Amino acid sequence: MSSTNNNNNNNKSNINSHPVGRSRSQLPTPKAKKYDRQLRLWGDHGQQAIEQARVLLIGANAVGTETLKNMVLPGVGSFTIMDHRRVTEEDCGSNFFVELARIGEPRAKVCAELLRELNEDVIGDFLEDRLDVLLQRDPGFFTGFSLVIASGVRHSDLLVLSDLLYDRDVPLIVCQQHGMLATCQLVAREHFVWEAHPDNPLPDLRLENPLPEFVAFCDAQDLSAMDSQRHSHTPWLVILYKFLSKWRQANAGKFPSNYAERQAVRQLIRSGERGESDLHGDEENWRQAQSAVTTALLPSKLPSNVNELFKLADQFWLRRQQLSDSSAPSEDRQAAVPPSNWLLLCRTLAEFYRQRGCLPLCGTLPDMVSDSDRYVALLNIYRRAADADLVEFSRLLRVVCLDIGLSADSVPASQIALFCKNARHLRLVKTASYRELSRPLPQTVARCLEETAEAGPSPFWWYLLFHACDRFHTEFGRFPGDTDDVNFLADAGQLKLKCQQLAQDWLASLATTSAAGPTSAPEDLLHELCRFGRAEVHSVAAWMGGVLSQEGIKLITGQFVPETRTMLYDAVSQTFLPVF
Amino acid sequence: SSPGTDNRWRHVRRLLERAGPLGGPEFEPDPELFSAIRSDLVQILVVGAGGLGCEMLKDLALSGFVNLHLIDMDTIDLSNLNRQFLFRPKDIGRPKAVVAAEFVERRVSGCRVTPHFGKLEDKPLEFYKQFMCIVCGLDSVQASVIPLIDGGTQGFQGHCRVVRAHATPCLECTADLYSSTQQGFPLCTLAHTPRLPEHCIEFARIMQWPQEWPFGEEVPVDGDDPHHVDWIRTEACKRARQFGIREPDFRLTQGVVKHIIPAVASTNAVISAQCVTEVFKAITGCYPLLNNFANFSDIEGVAVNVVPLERNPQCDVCGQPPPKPLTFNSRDSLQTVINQLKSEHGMTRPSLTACVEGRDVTLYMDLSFLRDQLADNLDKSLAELGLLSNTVLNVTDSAQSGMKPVTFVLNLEDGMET
Repeated sequence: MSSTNNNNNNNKSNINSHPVGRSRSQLPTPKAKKYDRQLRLWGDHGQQAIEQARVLLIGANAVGTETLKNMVLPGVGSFTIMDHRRVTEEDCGSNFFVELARIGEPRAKVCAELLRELNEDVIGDFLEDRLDVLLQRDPGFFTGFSLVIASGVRHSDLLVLSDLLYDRDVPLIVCQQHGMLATCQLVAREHFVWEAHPDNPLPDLRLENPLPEFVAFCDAQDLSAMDSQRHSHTPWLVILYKFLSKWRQANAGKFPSNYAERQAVRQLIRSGERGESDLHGDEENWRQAQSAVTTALLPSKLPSNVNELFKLADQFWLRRQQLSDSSAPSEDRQAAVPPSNWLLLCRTLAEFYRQRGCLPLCGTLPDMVSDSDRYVALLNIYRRAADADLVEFSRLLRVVCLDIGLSADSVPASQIALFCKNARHLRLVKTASYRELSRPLPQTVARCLEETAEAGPSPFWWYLLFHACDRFHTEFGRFPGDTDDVNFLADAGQLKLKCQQLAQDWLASLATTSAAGPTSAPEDLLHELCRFGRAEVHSVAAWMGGVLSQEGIKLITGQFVPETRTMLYDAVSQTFLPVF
Repeated sequence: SSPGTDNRWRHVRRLLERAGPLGGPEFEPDPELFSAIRSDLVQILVVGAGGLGCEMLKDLALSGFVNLHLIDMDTIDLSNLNRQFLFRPKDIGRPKAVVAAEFVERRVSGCRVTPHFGKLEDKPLEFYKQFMCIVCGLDSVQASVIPLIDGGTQGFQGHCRVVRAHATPCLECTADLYSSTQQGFPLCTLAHTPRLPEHCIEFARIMQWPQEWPFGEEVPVDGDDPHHVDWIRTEACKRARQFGIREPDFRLTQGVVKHIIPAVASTNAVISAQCVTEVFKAITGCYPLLNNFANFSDIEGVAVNVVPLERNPQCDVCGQPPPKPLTFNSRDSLQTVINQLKSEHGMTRPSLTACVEGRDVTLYMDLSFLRDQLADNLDKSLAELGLLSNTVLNVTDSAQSGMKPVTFVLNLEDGMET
């Protein structure tokens, strides 16, 4: 064992002069220290994306400011708050980013200040404009952001806002709170997930078509001739391969295709164990080899998410080809605009798959009981093969780029490497526009109404009621129950009417005019909503703020998979369920 | 009440003053309820002023509670600032509980936060008795009679649970749920067959460090000292090079040495908020409580899952049925109690201990020499022995070996209560 005794003798008595080896010291910067706990989750590149992001918050209410708080703390580049209201006493009982002393000041200004001081790295400003006015006067303002959060914004404004953002690929997060309930929805035409970070990914071993270097490595090992030390430290991958080969030879070269066949391989492995009477007793590596059979021998097939990407890429190229073939001037903005990097990469991936019959090798291996030299050797074999696939992939990418008139270096090398490493888990996530999402299909509505008739209060009813509340607000200038009047339930009648009208609107185009199930919300729910009077219960807002901020970070970094369904948080039952 | 109270707390008061069909089974809205939760009767303890504690403090303050206590033994570190939002760079080095209390009192006027800078374990049992509810950011408080709301997070996952004595599992029952993230690598792997950068790091920390004492004889590894961590990294890299293993960087090294758990503001916000919603329900009764364990994960989509955990009947801590009441007069002697234990509770040679003024006291042991030593107690009255109503007595029977203690609770018809 090497030692640093020489250094140590000189420095033992002098604690202040630290013995540092020859390698460059990598003491973290203050910023790396501050963000240490989160860097371990999304990496330096994820952090960079966050620091380049510009976020717009419309609605400096409890949910809005809580969402923004959890983006300012991790270091979002900049934020802008838009809110035309002034700080009220009520705000001081639900919003952490206002103060009693500042009642009467513009809410956007106060919240921006108190949020900004959470993190000196973040730039923040505010606007007091009314949303509907600015949407008319300066629509371009909104499309300059990486992400827009609309909290408690009325339906009519959301329609205009979403139409504006949707085609420009600026993701939008919409949320509303009523007391103990809150809904949310992501709206994004297209969002590419670069790194899904799956919980338990299957290892990428290529056992169906083993790497030549791997085969040579395994062939050079004779299990029966090994001493007990070597035998009990042979990596399971080698063991598995050897017995797999044995089985394949005895079965006309086919690959195990069902449970029984995989079990047969497992039995073969078991027969090779030396048992516990041996000197070194524990043959854990042999046990690992047997358990690995379940996951390592699954036939590899193209994941459906990747197949979808291939189709998208091919469609895009086909359209582009058709347009360039036609003599008419191209009016299709999609085709004229150069494809985004992910499309270029997906097109390349499809090409790679067509040529090679597999995706680029991931290159990592799970840990396994082994001696150092053989595990390291295996890692190197897989790493080299992955590197070779990456080189090949990059070459194909250059051809794809040049082919459509783009420079060969259109995609940075680090992005290519990230893409290949995560090839099996890539996916495109998309939602319809807010306009479509907030007007569910009649079939969907009919189904939901039917379901809730039996099951009782459901997220769908609440969602319907939220929209009914919006209509109530449009007509009466306040929300149902949002009054000091002891007779707050008087609003329930009007709310019920609005709810019925809305349900009928949504069902209107159904061929069968007799709607399945009731179109009037259960009395209980009407009553409860009036009781809330659109109260902003802080702990409920904080919960939603936590969820939405991470959804925002997913959209900004392209890491982890966003929730795309319309969701309802019910703090009474502590459930978070899809509305439809 | 200040002029600001009426409108300011409208959000919370709606829940407390207006009837609703979906409320708790025994909930009755009442205009006095809001002032009641702000009275001295309602004291809440938050355990931990870190990632969860800061969030919980804010959420409790904005739920209308005004008597909050906060206990934490740590001081503020730079790496806390990405999520422990009550702290600023200028606060580094100061006690977390103190700074958090200051901030919230300033921001939410009317809210009183009493900080306790110290260890939970150092507090006497009485300390807990003043609280109507305890909220944890740590898994270290023994379940007592009052409801305990516990939350925990790791990266993008977390949980929130409600613990009520005798109704739900206690923390001990489900201790195995909290799997340790400690990476215990076998020593032979570290010494002879390292494969991963982590093995090289642990070898340097566990084996090389105490051989070389790089910062002085017997000076232990301080994971917070970057020079210590860098020494370990350097040695780990040398070893890695020797074996052809990928060399660890500083971040990985410190992570292994300190068993760092990744953390972000968002997950802490979610779990804390969920906990405080449950605290609000527990104290006001406005809605039924979470029954009783909620999981959260937002790695893929967002998943919330509620599970009604069942008590572990073998649990050492709570596997007992509720304590049976023993009714006496404070002037009755200990002998009277023992007689009743024999005649009505099937005991032959009962031995009793009780918690008196915060300490466990052996009242009587029907066992060899102790019988004589404690014989004087038999004639003493319960009052003389310092026993009050609600004192819990733990009784074993020396005639039944291996018997688990049975708990009784004293009910003194004339006596004072604990």
